[in-house]
Order: sequence, then structure tokens, then C-alpha cells
Amino acid sequence: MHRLSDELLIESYYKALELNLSQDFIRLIEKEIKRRSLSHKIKVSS
Amino acid sequence: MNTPKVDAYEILERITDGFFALDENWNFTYVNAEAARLLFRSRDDLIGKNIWDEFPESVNLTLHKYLHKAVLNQKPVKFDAFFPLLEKWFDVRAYPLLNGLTIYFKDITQEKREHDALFQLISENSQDLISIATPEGRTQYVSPSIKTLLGYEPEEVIGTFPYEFCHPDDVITLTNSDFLKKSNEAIFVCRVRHKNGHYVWFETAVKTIRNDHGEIVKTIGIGRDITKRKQAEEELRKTKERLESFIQNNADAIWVIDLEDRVLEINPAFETMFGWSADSIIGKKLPIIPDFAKDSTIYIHEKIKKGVSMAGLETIRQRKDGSLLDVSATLSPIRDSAGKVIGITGICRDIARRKKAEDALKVKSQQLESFIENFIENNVDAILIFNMQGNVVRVNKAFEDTFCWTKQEIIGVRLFDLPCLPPEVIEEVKKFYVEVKKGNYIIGTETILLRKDGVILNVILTISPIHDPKGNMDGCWISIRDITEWKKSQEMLQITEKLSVAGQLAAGIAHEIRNPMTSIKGFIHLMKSDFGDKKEYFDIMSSELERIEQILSELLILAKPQISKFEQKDVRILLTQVITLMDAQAILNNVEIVTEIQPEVTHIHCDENQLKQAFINYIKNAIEAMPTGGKLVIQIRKKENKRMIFRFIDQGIGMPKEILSKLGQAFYTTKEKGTGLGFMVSKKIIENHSGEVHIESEVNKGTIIEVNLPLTQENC
Repeated sequence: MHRLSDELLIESYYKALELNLSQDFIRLIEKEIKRRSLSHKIKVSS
Repeated sequence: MNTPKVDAYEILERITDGFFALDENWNFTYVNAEAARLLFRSRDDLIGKNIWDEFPESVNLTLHKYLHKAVLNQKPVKFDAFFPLLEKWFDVRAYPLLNGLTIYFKDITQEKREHDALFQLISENSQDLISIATPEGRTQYVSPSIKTLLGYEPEEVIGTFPYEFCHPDDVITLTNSDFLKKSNEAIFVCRVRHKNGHYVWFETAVKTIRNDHGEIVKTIGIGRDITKRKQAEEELRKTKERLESFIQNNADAIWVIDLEDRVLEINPAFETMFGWSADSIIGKKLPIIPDFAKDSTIYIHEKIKKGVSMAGLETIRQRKDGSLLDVSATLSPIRDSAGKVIGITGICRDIARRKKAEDALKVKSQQLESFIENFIENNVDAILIFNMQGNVVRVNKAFEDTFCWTKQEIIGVRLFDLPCLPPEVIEEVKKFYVEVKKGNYIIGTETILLRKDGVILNVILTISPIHDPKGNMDGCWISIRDITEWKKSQEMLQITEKLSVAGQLAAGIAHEIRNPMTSIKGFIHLMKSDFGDKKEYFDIMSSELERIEQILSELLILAKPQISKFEQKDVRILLTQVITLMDAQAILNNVEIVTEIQPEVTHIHCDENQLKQAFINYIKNAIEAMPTGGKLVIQIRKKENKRMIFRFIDQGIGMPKEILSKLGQAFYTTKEKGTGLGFMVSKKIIENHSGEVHIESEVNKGTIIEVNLPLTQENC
């Protein structure tokens, strides 16, 4: 996950949401986004 | 008148004694022939002459004194007189007349000499001290034995007063006593100074010689050294005093009675012990014998009177106030110097306290006995007692319970013939027996024994020799503790310990794997949408991943102490929910689930979710055990209002023993798709509920899983 580029990470996030993948997975990606301070690039999820 | 007178003179002439007559002026009127011969004077020469003129030396003699006395008192006198001139002793008798005096006398010189010689012989050779003193008390003569007795030469003593040699303390008593005025004989005991300065005890017999007028002529003393006797007397006195003090101060009551049972003497301890004062009972019958003991006492006293002594006689005596007293009495006869029994002496010791202690001891030993009896009979350990010959003499109830043989079957059997000894341990037991015979103990040795039904029991033996009070060996006893169950649970504990370690390790791993797993799973799904043509690959990956996840979650249940919330739950609802959940799978496998629930079964205290998980596992196992379908019966019933029994009875393939024993080990599974954790997790849950799981299984017949849960949770 660390090696994923910022863009791909954001893309994965949206795709996961789109495919309704497991909440654990989505939370894992969100955590990484937050770590990279990229939260502003995604919509604030519920 | 003349004739008779002549006749009278005739007679006087013929008598053997000397005779002469004097007139009132002391002139001779008649002298017989014998008198003339004795006096060495002719008759004519004397007649008409004054006696004192003719014998002037006699004036100073006793003769003069006695004759005057006779005339004065007009009484006859008799005395011995010595005439120094003639060197003769005369025995003189004078009879006064109105106008004169007639005197008879005879020569006794010869007799006197013999007498003196005898006296000398005695006094010179006597071991006693013989002395003669003048009327005023001066020593006139003392026998030579004074040299050996007192160390003085006779010459040193003659002329002194005897009391000069007496001990100052004795002088007073001697001089004060006026015995000589009354009697002619006396015995003195006094200390006499030896020439060396020390004093010697003397017993002196004194005799005074008096003349007719009662005046002392001389004093004769015979003294004897009685120092030795005195010492012996002193010894005796001391012994007597000691004896007296012993009797007076003895803590035991001592009494002395005569042959008529009258009290002669008692000591102060008697007074204290029995309450009688000496004054009140001396001379009376011994009052301390209670009525009921009178006969036996008379019998005993009779025996004592025959000379028998009795010691340590335990009996009962009575105090003055009537209360009774336990005593230990020692009775012995008192004899006189001839050895004849003249009384009885008794020593009584108050043994009430000892009696009490003995009684207490008796009670104690009875308690101890009943304690030992209880200890043996009700001991949880089996106990066998053997006699010296090695035969069983006693078996307790625990033995019967543990080994199932009855007492009757075991008592009398020899140690090595005991049916509970398997052949392989006989040698070992023989070794133990040899040790015990030496007096050693075998403590806590582990071995195996057989139960009547042939089951091998693990036991701990303790063998101890039994000693009689003298310390000799009197047999032995064996206590047997059945540790079969304990051993089993010990083994279980070890497995559980292993599991717990494995579980913690697994949980750690599981936790670490979770995140990477989620990540992998997520990205696979993401990829799946892009690679539509290779969908089956992704399906495989997904299902494998799910399997890993399942294992992980089960591992976590196992290891993590779940936050359990125990509540009263209705097991009927709980079970219905579980069955609903499992129904689909059951139907799929053609399994019919039947529940048999006793009416009174309702609530149980439990963690709902955990219990459900356990039940799901059991039902799942049952369904999987019946690949060709069948019936699963679930029974629930109450046991003694304390526990609830759940039974899952399937008609499946069952399990052989070797698999059964491995059941519960982590990752052991017989199923292709099993994790090897399900049963373990269930068991853990049941144990967390303080319950037990039992499995019975028979190959191709089915398996019964029995869960036993308490109705209330006390320590969870």
C-alpha cells in the first residue's frame, strides 16, 4: 500500500466504494490517505 | 548375890571378845582376860584407872568421840576404831549404863587388812576411776586408771576438789544438787577435763560413808568414761529428731495406731488432709475409714498385724466433714525391740488430683481411639492394616469404594495374595515390605493396582510399620490414594497449558495477518473488475482468502478473552435460533434435526453468543459426520436442579478411539475443509461456563456429545 502512488491510491479508494468492497478494506485505504495528508482529495465519507 | 555376880564375871571371862566396864568417871571397873590380852595390859594395872589417862592417844581417836556420844545419848554405839599404838583395828560396841559404860571389842585387824587388800586390788586394776574424797570433798585417793582415762598422775589430783576438773556448765548442776544431804548414793553425769584440755563424758557413781551420827566420813566415787555411749546417744537423738521432723513436715498424712486401732500419733499433714486435730483423735479409733471400706480395712489391718507391709494401696478415706478422698496408702507394722508387732503406721497420699488426671487421660484416650477409628474408617484414602504375619486384619470403606472388593473378601488375605496386586508390581511390593519390616517407612511411592473389574488405577502408597507400646513391630498399615483421576486431569492440564500457549501465539499471528489480508482481499476485488475474462482465478483467490480469514477469526476467539456478558437466557429460544441458522446446511445434507426438551428446562446463565458458537460447531460437526444424511437428536434436560445436560446425538460415521483421544488438539482435523479449531473453541467456551464435555463415539454408529453446564455461574 505504501508503494502505491497518491493517484492510484485515490483511484483505488473510489473504486472500492463503487464496488462496495468490505468496510475494513475501505478504512485501510482511508488511513493511508490520511497518513499522506491527501484527505482533501477525497470527498469526506460519511 | 555374890554368886550370881561371880557367875556373870565367869561368863565375861570366857567370851572371846574383849570386855571392860567403866564407871561414870571413865575409870575401869572391870577388864576381862581377853581385853587385857588385846590391850597388852594386866587387869590389875587397869582397874580403878581412868581410861583417858591410861590411853591418852585415844582421846584424839574416834573411840573418844563415840564413847562420849554413847554416854550422852544413853544409846549403844558400834564402830570400827584403829589404835595406832597397837597398830590394830577393833570392832567396838559400847553399851551405856546409868553409872558407866560397858564395852565389848575384838581385833579385826586381819579382816581389815584383807578388806583393804581387796579394795586395793580392785582399785589398782579397775578400768573405772575409783576415788575417795574427804568429807569436805578433797580427793584423798584416786586409782591409777586416771592416767589412761584422764591423763593425770594420781599425785596431781590428790588434795584437789573434783569439781575443779568439771566442765563449767556441769559444775553448777553438781554443786546445786544437795543429794548428799538426803541419800548416800547418787549417779552424776558430767564432763571432765582431760589433761590435754578436752572434755570426757563421765558417769560417776558416788557413795558416802557416814558414821552413826550421820556425818560423812568419806565419799567413794566410781567413774566411767561414757564418751562413746554419749556419742551414740547423741546420734540416736539426732536420728530421732530427723525422723520426727520428717514425720512432722511430711506432705503425706502419717498416723500411728496401736493394735486396738487407737490413734497414737498423727502429723500436721494428717490434720490438714482429714480435718481432724491431733487432740481430738489421739487415743480414739482411727476415724478416717468410711463405712463401706470398714470390712476391707479390718482385713488389711489384720494382715499388717501379722507383719506384712502394704505399699501403694489405692483406697478411699473420709474427711471429718464426711467428704471422701482418694488416697494411696502405705501401711506397715511397728515392732518393739523384741520384734513383736505393737502397732501400725500408715502414710496416706492424696491422689485426687492424680485420679482426676488419670480420668482425663482416659477420656482423652477414648477420644483418640474414636478419632483413630473414624480416621481409619472414614478416610478418603483406602487403608489396609496387616498383622505381623502379613495378613489383612482391617480394611476401610474407602478401600471397598476404590477397589470394589468387600471387606469380607479381603480380610485374612496375605499381602502378596491380594487380588488388587497386578503381577508386575509384586516384586516392588515385596521390596517395600522388607523395608517396612526393618522399621522404615515407605512414603508416597507411586505404583499401579487393579480394581476388581480389571481397571488399572494409579495410586500412591504409604506403608508404615505399627509398633506396640514397647516399640516392637506389630504389623504395618498401608494407605492407598487413588490418583487416577488426578493424573488424568494433570495430563489435561498439560494439554490445556500447551493450547493456551499455542493459542496466544496464534492470536498474535492472526492479529498481525489481518490487515495485510484485508489489503490483499481488497485489491483482488479491485483487480477482478478490470480482468473480467479471468474471473475464476479471482474466485479461487477470494475463496482461499476467506478460508484464511475464517481460521484467523476462530483463532482469535480461542485466544482472546472475549468480553463475556453472562445473562439469564432461555435455552429453548437460544437453541431454536441456532437450529434456524443451521437448517439450510442440514437440509442440504439431508439431515433432520430433532429436539427433545424436558418441560422444566428454561433459563441458564450464559454468554449467549459464545454458547451459540459452541452449539453451531457441534451441529456442524454432526451434519458433516452424516454425509449420506440422517437424524440429529438434540436433548436438553435438567439434572438435580443444578446442572443442564445437552446431548447432540448423531447417526454419523463415528470416530475410532485413536481419533477420539486427539480430539481437542489444535489444528487436528478429520475433515477436508476443517480448521482443527472448531471443537477446541467449543470446548473452551464450555469450560468458560464451568461446564464439561463428554464424547462417546462408535465407528459407523454415531457420536454422542454431552455438554454439562451449571444453571448458575458463580465464578464467571
